[in-house]
Amino acid sequence: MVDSVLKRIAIGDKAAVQQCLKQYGGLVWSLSRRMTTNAEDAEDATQDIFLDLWKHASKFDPAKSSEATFIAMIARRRLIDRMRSSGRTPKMESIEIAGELHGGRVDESIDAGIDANRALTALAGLDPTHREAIRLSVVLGLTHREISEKMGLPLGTVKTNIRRGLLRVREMLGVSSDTSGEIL
Amino acid sequence: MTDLESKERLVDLLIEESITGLSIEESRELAELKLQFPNAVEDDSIALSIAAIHLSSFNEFSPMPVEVERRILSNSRRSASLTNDSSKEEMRLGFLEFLSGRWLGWGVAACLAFALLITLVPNRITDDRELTISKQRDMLLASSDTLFRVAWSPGNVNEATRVSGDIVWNSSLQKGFMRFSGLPRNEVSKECYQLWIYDENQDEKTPVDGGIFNIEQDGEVIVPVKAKLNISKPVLFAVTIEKPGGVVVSRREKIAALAKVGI
Repeated sequence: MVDSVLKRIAIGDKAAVQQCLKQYGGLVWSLSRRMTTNAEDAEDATQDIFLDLWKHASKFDPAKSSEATFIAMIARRRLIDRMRSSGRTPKMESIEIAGELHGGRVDESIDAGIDANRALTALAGLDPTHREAIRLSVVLGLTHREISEKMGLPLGTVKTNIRRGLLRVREMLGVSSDTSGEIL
Repeated sequence: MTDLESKERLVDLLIEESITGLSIEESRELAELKLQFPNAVEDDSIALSIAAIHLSSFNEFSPMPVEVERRILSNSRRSASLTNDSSKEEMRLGFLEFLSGRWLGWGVAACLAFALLITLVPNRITDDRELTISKQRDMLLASSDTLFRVAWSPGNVNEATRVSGDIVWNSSLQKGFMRFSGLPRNEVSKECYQLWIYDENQDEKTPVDGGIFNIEQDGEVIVPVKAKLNISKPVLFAVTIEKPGGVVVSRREKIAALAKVGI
C-alpha cells in the first residue's frame, strides 16, 4: 500500500492529484503569495509549481524529508526562477513574519509541522547572530551584503554564520544521511 | 584555493542557489565544483533544510482560491489525456520505423504498406520531422514515471556561456530529448557535439555515450538522446565537443553544457 500522496501521483493515481491539491494547496499558495508581487502572479506561479510537482513526484524520498518540505523546496525553486527571469531580486513581500522563527510552534495539522518544528528547534539552539542571519536570508530573502549592512558584520562573517547555521539545521533535520565523513 | 575553501565555496553556492538563485557564472562555478567534489554535499539536503526553515515561518496557510484549484485540476486532466495519446503515437512511430527498416526496399510491399498506413493511421505521415520530435518530447514530459528533467548550465567553453534549455529522460522508456537555446552552431567538418550520461550504476570514468549531434541553426533546437547502453538512474548529463564522428572515451576538455540531476 502506498500512503504518500506524492508516491501515488508518481504511479499515476489520478485521485491523488486532487488530494494533493487539498492537502498542500494552501502551503503552495501561501509561498506563492509571499514571493510574488500580486495575486495574478501568484496564480500563475501556483499552477507552474503543481505542474513541476507532478513531474517530480517520483523523486520524493520520505527518508530525507516530509512531503511538505519537499513540496516547499520545489515551490521555492520555481518561485526563485520566476523572480530572476522577471528581473526582480528574490525578496519576500511580507515583513510581518519577523521574529517568528524562534517563536511558537507550527500547527502540525497544517501538514507542514513535522520538519518545520524540527527546524524551529534546531534554530533555537543556534547562536543568536547565526539565527538572525538565516532569518534575514531565508525568510526575508536579503542578500549577504544587505544582511552585512543590517547587522553591522563583515560580509565574510555573515556568509560563515549562514553556512554554519544551515549545516547545523541540516544535521538536526537529518536530511543528510551520508556517514563517509567527507560531507561538509 | 584549498580543498576546504573550495568545499565551503560549494556550500555557499548551494545556499545562494536555494535563496536567490545563481548567475550564469555562478552556475558554471557550481557545476565545476560539483564535478570536483561529487560526494561533498548530498543532493538537495541544503535546499530541503532551507525549505523547512521557510515553512517554519508560517503560523498558518491561506487557502488556495477555488478557481486556481480548478484550473490546475483541468490542466492535470489534459496532461493525462496527452499520456494516453502518446501510446498511440508510439505505435504509429514504431510502425513507421518497422516499415522504413526491413520492408521499404521491397517496392510492391512498400506500396501496400503505405496504403495500409494511410488507412490505419488517422494523422498524416507527412508531419514535419522537427514537429514530431517536439511532440514526442511533449509526450515524454506528460509521462510521470522515472522522468528526469534537468536544466542545462554552461560548461567551460567560452562560446557557449549562454546555453540554456533542459534535458528530459525517461528511464522506463529509455528515451530522452535535449532542448537547447544558445548552443553555438558547430563546424561539422571539424567537430561535433557528443552527449555523455553518467549513470548511478556506471563508473564515472566511463560515462555512457548519449550520441553525437550537430547544431546547424540558431534558436531553440531539440535533439533526441541516443544512449548506447541502458540507463537506470542518471546523475549527470554532459555535452562535450569532439572530433567529427565522436569518440569512445572523451578527454572532457571542451564541455559545452552540463545538467546535474537534483530535482
